[in-house]
Amino acid sequence: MTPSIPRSVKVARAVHRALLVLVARDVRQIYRAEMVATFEAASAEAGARGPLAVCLLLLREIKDLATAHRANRPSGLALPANAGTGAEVATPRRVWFQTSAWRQAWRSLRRRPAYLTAAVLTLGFGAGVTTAVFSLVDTVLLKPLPFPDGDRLVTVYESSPSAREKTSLIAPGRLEDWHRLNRSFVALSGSYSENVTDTSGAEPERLEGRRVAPRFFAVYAMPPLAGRWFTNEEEWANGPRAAMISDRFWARRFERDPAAVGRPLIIGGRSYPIVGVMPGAFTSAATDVWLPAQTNQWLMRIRDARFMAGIGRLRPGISLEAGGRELATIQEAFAREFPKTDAGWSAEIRSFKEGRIANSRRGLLLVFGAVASLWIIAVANIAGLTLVQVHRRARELAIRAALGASRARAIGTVMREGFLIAALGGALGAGLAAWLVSLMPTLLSTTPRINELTLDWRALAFVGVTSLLAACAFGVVPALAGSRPQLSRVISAGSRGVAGGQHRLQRLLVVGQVALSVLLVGSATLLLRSYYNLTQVDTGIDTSSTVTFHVGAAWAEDRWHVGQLQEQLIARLEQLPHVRAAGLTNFLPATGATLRYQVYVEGLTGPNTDGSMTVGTRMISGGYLRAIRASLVAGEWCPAPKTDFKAPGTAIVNQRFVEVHAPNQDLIGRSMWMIQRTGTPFRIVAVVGNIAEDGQATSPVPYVYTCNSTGAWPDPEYVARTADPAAFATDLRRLVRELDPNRAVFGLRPVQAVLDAALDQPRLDAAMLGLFAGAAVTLAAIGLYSLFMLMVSERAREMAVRLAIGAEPRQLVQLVMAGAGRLIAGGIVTGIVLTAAADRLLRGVLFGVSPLDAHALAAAALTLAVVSAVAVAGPALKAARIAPIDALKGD
Amino acid sequence: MDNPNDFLPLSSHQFHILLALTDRERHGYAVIQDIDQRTDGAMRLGTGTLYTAIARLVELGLIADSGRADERRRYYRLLPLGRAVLRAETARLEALVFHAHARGVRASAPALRRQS
Repeated sequence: MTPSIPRSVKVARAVHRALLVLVARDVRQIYRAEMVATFEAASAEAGARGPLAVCLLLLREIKDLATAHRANRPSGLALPANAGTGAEVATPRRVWFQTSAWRQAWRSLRRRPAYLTAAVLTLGFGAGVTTAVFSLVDTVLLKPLPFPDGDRLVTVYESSPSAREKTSLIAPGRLEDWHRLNRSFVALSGSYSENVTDTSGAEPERLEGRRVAPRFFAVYAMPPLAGRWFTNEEEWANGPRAAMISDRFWARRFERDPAAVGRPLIIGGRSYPIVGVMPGAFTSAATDVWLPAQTNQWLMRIRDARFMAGIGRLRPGISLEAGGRELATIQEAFAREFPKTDAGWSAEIRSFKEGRIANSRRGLLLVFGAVASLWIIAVANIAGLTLVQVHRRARELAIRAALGASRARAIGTVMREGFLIAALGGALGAGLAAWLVSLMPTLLSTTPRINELTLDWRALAFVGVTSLLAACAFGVVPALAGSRPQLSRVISAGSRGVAGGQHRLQRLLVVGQVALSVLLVGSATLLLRSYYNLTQVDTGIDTSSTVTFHVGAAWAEDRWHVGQLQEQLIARLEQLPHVRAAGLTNFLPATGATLRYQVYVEGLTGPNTDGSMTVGTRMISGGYLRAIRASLVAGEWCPAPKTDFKAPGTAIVNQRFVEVHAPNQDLIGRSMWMIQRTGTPFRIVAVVGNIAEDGQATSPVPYVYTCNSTGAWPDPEYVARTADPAAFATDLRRLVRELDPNRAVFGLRPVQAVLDAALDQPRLDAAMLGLFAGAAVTLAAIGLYSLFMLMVSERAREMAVRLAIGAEPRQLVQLVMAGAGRLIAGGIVTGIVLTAAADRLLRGVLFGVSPLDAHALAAAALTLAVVSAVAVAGPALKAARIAPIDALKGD
Repeated sequence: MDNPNDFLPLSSHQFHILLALTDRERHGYAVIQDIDQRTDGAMRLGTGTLYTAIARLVELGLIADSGRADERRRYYRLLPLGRAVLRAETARLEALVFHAHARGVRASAPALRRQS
C-alpha cells in the first residue's frame, strides 16, 4: 500500500464501507473485516491506475453489493430455477430496494403523463407555498432572536399610569441612573433616531442614523461583521467621534470593502471615522449609521426630556417581572427626590422579542393555517387521483394477485410510485419555496425580522417531511384500498350498482372545496373591485408630471438658515423654464399623517365646547397647491414664501370645512388661530377643493392649510410640476449645490408613486387572496375530476348494461353530469352562505363595494360552475365512450 | 447430505470460486484476481458477491478457512467434499454439452459469457 492514499481511494473506501449494509446480515457479521480488507487491496491497485479506475471499480462494486444476494443463485443452465441452494425468492424488503422495481415504477408513471404532471404540480405547488410560509413563520415567530441569549433582551420604558399614553421614552439622565442603581440587568442602554447628511461621498447623501447611549452594542452582544464596537471614551460626552455602519450601507457605499473601516464619514462638516460594521441581522430597520449620542451634562440633568428608546439585558435567571419590579422600586425613590419631574412616573419592561413580533403573530398564523389546509386538501386530492389510477389498474393488480404476487408486493408497487411523485414534487416545492423566500423581503418589507429570513435546513427538512408524509397519505391509503382482498371481485363481477353511500368522504371533500373556492373567489373579486374603486377615487389633485423630493436638513439646525435655503430654492426652481410651480408641504396626501388640531375662526362657533373646530392640517407653501393643481374655489393662493417668523401667516381652508362649519359664509380675510385662541392669527386667503389627505378610502374631512414662514418645517416634502423630469433632476442638484454644497437631495420620485404606495396594502391583499382563490379552484377541479373518474370506472359495468339495453351515450353523460351538478350546486350554495357569514370580516377592508355584492358572488359562482363543468367533462366523455362489449366481458 | 450431486447445480460464482482454490489456498482478493485473469475479465467479482458465496460454501462444508492468516485476510482451501462437488458439477456440465453436441449444437467461438 502506498504511503499516501489518493483521495479518490479514500472516498471509494468510505462509500464501500457504508454500502456494506446491502449485503445480507449473516454474511456481513462474519466477513465484514475481510470485505473491507479485500476492497482495500482492490482499490489500492485501482488507485495506482488513476481516479477513473477507482471510479469504475467503485461502480462495479456498488452493483456487486446490490446484487450480492444472487451470488448463490444457480446459473441459467440449472433447470428448476428454484431448486438451487440460495435464497432466491426475494423478500418484500429486498424488492423495495431493487433498482429494477423503481425503474419499473418510473416507467409506469411515464405512461400516464397527465396523472404524473397533475400530481407533481399539485404537490410541488402545495409544498413550495407551505414551506415558504413555514420559513416566514419559523423565522419571525419561532426562532430565537439572532442575539446571544436574545430572550434576556427587554425594551425599557418610563410609565405613567395616569397619562393617556401609558409608556414613554426615557430621559437619558434617568437611563444612566437606572443602569447605575439596578442589580437585575447586565446593562441598560438606549437610542434615538437622527437622520444625518454625509458629504464624504461623490454627492451629499442622506443617511438613516441612530444616536446610541453608552453600552448600546454590549446590550445586544452581537459581534460586528468588521471592526469593533465603540470604545468607552467614544460613548461619552466630549469623547472622540466614531461611527458604526450597517451591512446595507457598507454594501451600498463601499461594496463591502474591508478597508471601509477606518475611513471617515463627514457629517455636519465633521469627520466621523468608521470603526465597525454591524451584520444585516442586527436590525430590520433601514438604519445606515450609528453614532454615539455623547449626551452632554446639561441635557443629562433635564429629567423630563424623554427621548431615548430603552433596551436592556437581564442577568441570567432574573425574570421579566423581577427586573421590572426593581426598576420601579428605584424610580419610587426618585419620585420622592425629584417630585417635580419624577412624581407619577414608574418603569416598565417588556420582552424585546414579543414587542417585535406581537403585531404579526395573528396574521402569520392565519396565513399559515390557510396554506396548511390548502396543502392537506391538495394531498387528499392526489390521494383521490391515485385511487382512480389504482382503480383503472385494478384488473392488472388483481390478476397479479391471482398469479401469486403478494398483497405486500401490490402495495409496494403503488407506494413506490407515490414516493417517486413525492420526491419530484418535493424538489419542485423546494425550488418554488426558495424563489418565494427570495421575494418575501421586498413584498413583506414591513414584517418584523424579515431581514433574518433565509431558506435554511429547517425549511428544507419541512419540505422533506411534508412530502414524505404526503407520499404516505396518497401512496399507502390507495394502495391499501386497492389491494383489499375483495378486489378479486373486480375480475369476476366488476362493481355493479354502486350505491350513493360510497365515497362519502370524498364527496364531502369536494363539496367543501367548491364552497371554499366560492368564498375565496368571491372575496378576491370583492377585494379587486375595492382596489379598483380606490384607484378611481378623485383625489382632488392632478399628479401627472409632478415630482417630490427632500433636501437634507435637521431639526436641530438653525431655523432661519434652513428657511433661507427653502425660500431661495423654491424661488429659483420656479424660475426654471420647465417648472410650472414649486412648493413644499409637511406631509403629502395619503401618507398616513392624519393628526387633528383645534382651530378657532373669527365669527364662527365650532361644535367643541370652547367654540373650536377639529380639523386636519398641513403646513404648506402656496406653490405646493398650484403644483398639484388643487382647484381654487375662492380667494387667491398664499403669497410666495418668506423666511420671517414674526409676520402673520396665511391659511387656506378646504371646501368640506366651509360645508361643515360655515355654510354660505365668506371666510376670506377672517382670522384663524391654531390650538389656542391667542397670539398672531393666520389670515384666511382662499378656499380650496377637497384633497384626499387622509387617504383614498376616507371621505373628505375639514382641512386647514397654513402657509408659514419657510424654515418652520425643516425637512418638508418639496413638490414641483415640471415639463421635463430629467432636466429637473440635474437642475435641482445644481441649484442645491450652489445654495449649500453640504446638503443631500434625496427621495426624488413622482408624486403619483407616493399615492400608489398608499394602495400597496389593498393591492397585496387582493393579490394574496387571488392566489389562494386560484389554488383553491385548481384543487376543487382536481377533486371533482378524480371523484367522477373513479365513479365512472366503478360504474362502467352498470353503464354498459344500460347501453346494451338501449340507453344513449348522451344519457350516460347526463347521468354523470347530474351527479356532479348536485355536488357542485351544494358546494356553491354553501360557499355563498360562507361568504355571507364572512360579511363582517370583509366589511372593514372593502371600499365602495358591499360584501354581499351580487356581481362578485355571481362571478364566483359562475367561475366555479365553469371550472367544475370542465373538470367533470373528462369523466362524462369517458362514460359516453364505454363500449358495452368490453365492459361486460370484463377484459 | 454427503452426496456431491445434492449440491448441484452450483451458481457460476460458486463454481469459479471452487475452481480458483483447486491449485492452492488463496485469500479473497487472490480469488477475485484469479477469476478475473482466467476469464479474461469476463467475470469480475466484487466483495459482496464473493463473500456471500464464500459464506455459503463454508456453511455447506465445501471450503474452509485454512488457518493461515496475514493481517486481516483469511486464506481458504478446498475441502475434499468441495473437490467432489466441483467434479460432479463439471460432469453435469459435460453431460449438458455432450447432449448439445449430439444434436449438432455448437458454439461458434468458445467465448465465456459474462454472467449477471
